[in-house]
Amino acid sequence: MKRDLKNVTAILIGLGALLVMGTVNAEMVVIVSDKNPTASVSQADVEKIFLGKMKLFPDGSSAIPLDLPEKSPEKNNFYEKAMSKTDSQLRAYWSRIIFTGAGAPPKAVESSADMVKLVAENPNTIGYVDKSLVAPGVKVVWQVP
Amino acid sequence: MKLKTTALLCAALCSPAAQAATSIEDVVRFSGFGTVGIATSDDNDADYRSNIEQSTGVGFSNNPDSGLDTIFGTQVDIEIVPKLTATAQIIARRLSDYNSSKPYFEWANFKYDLNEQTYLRAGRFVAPTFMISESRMIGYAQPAVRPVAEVYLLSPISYMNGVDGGYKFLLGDTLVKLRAGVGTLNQEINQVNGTLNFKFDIKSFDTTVEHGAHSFRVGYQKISMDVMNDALELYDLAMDQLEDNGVTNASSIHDRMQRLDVPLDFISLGYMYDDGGMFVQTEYAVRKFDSDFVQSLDGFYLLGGYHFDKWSPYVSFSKLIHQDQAEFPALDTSSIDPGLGGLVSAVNAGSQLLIERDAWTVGVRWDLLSGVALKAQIDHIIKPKNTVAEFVNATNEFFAEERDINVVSAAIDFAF
Repeated sequence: MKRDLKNVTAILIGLGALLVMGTVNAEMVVIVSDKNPTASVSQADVEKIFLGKMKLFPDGSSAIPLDLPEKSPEKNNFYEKAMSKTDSQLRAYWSRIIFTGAGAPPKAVESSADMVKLVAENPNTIGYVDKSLVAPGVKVVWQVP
Repeated sequence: MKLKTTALLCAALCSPAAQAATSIEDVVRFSGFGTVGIATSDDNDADYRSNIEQSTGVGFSNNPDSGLDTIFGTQVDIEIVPKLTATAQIIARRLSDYNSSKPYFEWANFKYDLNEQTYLRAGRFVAPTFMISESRMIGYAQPAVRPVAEVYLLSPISYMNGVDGGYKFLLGDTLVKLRAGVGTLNQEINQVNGTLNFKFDIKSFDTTVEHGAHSFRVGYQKISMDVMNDALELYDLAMDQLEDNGVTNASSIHDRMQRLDVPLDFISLGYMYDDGGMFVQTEYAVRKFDSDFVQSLDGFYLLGGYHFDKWSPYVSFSKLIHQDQAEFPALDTSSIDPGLGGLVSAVNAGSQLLIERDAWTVGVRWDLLSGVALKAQIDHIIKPKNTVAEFVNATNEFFAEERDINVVSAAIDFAF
């Protein structure tokens, strides 16, 4: 009986650790090129740009959002944390936009490394990556909560 | 599905500047959506339909019915040059040709984005009559199996051919979208008593205000409508004869039964909320005819639900309300041919019929795969006496009695 309880405790601790790791791992940041004069953006700006509602930086210049690949955990994590949208909710949203001729989702890059490279090159682009992947050429304009 | 035909098309079409821009966006995009649905009704005396264009539904004509909600749509978007897009969407769904569903172009237009805030569009596009009119056929984008019928069957207008323009701007964190359009639609609707040819001249205005998870919308359409039909030509002839014969009330009734250049207004006030957990959709819509030829109706619904991860249960209450029901004074038709007299009585009686009902709906959406959702829904419709309540192919008993009708539906929605 006592041993059983110990096992259960061990399992619970293990599960807890997994859960904690899941959240700690996922620290996402929104990035723009070093050449972009934008110092920071708000959650509302991020939502408007990535959902195609108003693709403009706060100074009025054109913003081109980029997505990580379909079904990547980082992409799902970004949309859930930044705008409370699950993969299904995001797809439902875009199907409404696409099939009413109101726009198209951001173009998907091939990897996080690709994202950093493309954002660094083009001052109009805006992307998101895991905080640990931020490299010279890009700067963080918003920390995903 | 995306085709990387950028390079190929660009070699022929694009300037070097355009090539630089198209490295960001694909030039040609194919996409599609659909719903495969099945519905069954516990009342075989009339057809429940999902929109007013349908001449059959579930109950009397089909039971169970796999055609009520089944829709296929496919779309191609072509970026001809940067900022100029051509969009064509073909839809197959049940319309008024009884159980057939011939594919047709629902959208076919050129859209020019002057900048991020302003666009102009010409061609065919869906008339934004109500809050979700434009996306009402995309089951995957909706919480329920079908848009709430008590509002969405008020209008037979799907698309219009014309031009529109939109402008959007930010007021702090609030997004304001303004839109205006003009267009026409010639529409044939087959009914039990023959084909009605409608012609609509449409002026459309709508404004959406979005703030965070909240979205408010006001829509207004000013329409001039003609209804043409052989039997109605005879009706006008017969009413002219009654007027010539000096029959009491003939002239006043005929004046109230105009079917050409009839002013028709649609007004819609809507609100949507979705914070990723709770969601709400509510709308009050008005259909106002300046003629007793067609009934003026209001529709209302309140739909709410909650996203529990992949499961999203919802419940809604909706109402179809008859405004200013026509009541004609007595008309003596004995001075004209009995056949024509019968026609006059039938048409006049039809215009005085009550159209009212209430409905409760409960259902659940299950997002089982990415891009695929399953839904199950029960509609409980309550209709008073002496109305078919926008059902079709109804028996006399159905018309006369107060009834509760239950429609159970299941659907798979997909989008790719």
